[in-house]
Amino acid sequence: MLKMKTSAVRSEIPFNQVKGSKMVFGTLGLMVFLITLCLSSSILLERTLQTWRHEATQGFTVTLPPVTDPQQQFLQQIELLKLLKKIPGVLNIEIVTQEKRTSIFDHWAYPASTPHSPLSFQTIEATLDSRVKIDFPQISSTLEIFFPTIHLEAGRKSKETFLEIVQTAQISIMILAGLIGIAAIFTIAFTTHAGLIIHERVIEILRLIGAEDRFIAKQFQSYALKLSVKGGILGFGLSALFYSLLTSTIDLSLLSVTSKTFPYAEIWSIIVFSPILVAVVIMISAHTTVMFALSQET
Amino acid sequence: MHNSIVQFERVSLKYDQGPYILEDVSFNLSSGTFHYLTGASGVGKSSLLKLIYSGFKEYRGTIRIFGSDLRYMKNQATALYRQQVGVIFQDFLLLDHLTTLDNIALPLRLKGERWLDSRKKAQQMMKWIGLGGLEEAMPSTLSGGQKQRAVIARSVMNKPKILLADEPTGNLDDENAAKLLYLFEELNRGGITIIMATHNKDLTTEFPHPIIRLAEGQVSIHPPFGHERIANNA
Repeated sequence: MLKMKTSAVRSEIPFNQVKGSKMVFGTLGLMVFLITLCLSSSILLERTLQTWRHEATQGFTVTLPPVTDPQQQFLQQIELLKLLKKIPGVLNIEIVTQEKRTSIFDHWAYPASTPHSPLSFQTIEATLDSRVKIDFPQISSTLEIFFPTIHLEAGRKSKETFLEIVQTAQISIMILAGLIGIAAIFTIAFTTHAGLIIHERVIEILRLIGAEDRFIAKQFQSYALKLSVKGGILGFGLSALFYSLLTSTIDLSLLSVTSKTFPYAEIWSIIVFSPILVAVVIMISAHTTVMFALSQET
Repeated sequence: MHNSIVQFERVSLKYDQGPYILEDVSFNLSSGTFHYLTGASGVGKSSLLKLIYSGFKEYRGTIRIFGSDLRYMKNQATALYRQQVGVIFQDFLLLDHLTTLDNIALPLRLKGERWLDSRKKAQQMMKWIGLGGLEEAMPSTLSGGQKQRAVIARSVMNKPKILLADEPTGNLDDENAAKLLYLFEELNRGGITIIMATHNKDLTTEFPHPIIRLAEGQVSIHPPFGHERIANNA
């Protein structure tokens, strides 16, 4: 009885004879890594946005330039507080203390010894009722009548604009992930087409002895799976390495998330499932490409 | 014809602007018969066989095999049809990257049989056809006669209903050609319809079977040597 070689070639199409096709798995690995990066960034931004939306106080800030006479400054403050309290929708007003300002502005940027330190400015924060529509230009005009040098900054508006910018960035990242996915599909479609041309003779023989189109498609599909598994492992490795480096070095407070709110589970899920998703999409792409190409032939 | 397996009705074939290879040809072949296909070199014997295994779609007329019109067969149906037809190609068409055993097992793989099962059956076939011990040999290392037998083994692995052989003795000496004919007759006794293209007159005399003669685009069917002419479509 002949010893059956289990290591025998199991593909009826000699894919391994085309050395260049092995390069495809490197490209796929890179694409898996980029998709993982995009999706993880998007998740992280979403989590950060949630925090920022929660933290975003509804209000505005008014600032008066410094006055040399402390008595005059005190009277100015009282006058301004009275005026602000009269504005419809203002729930609370708070004088920004020196400590708070110091916590906002870095010590190195505004050292206390600096003669024109911003600490000498008078800053008051007003919290607004989110249900009341606020006309900021009107408030600004009213305040300028009494305090011509006053500066008003609408916090709600600027924060909303900032959140919109971040959200746009998040959407852009998702679109980029989609485009990379489409590029992966086109890469496989192109490689499969090239494979059909390179192995035309073998495919012709297989068809002459009765190979169905789906049999040939299955061969390409299996090879695409093999490439995408290799690429997936590479992409997974790169992603895991990058993520580990990032989490060990990044200051989470920059993103307004803590170690408790950081989306570890979501990001690890993306790192694990992206290669699987890419492999499935690539298999389908290879199968569809072959079936379509062969259906055009008679 | 009641038991007809191959039916040609007014079939014409030509390549581009060249002369007709077949012109308005009609004939029927019954199931379980053995026919030689003869004619001068280049007359179109291979083309006629190619028409039968649905290698051409660009012809006029109607070709029915097993009662189905080949022209209207989709890819899927053509593949299933070809699984019922064994073809011994003149230029072998073995896959060079597969071992001889895997080449012979291929028709079974195409039908979805498991890898090891198909290899076991192919191994038995190789012993039967005299290629035992060459299972793991690559086709490029086989002699012409061995390749010929490998192709024959591959063509009958599926137990086809029709066996088309294109000059199968072309690479064989007289002794091996005779052995091949004994093999074909054995297969034919097993119920396989055989059409064998050849220009070896000695063989057609030694192993007498009806002859399909192809000349100037016309087909005529003659009785075996020593018998009267039985049909002529001209």
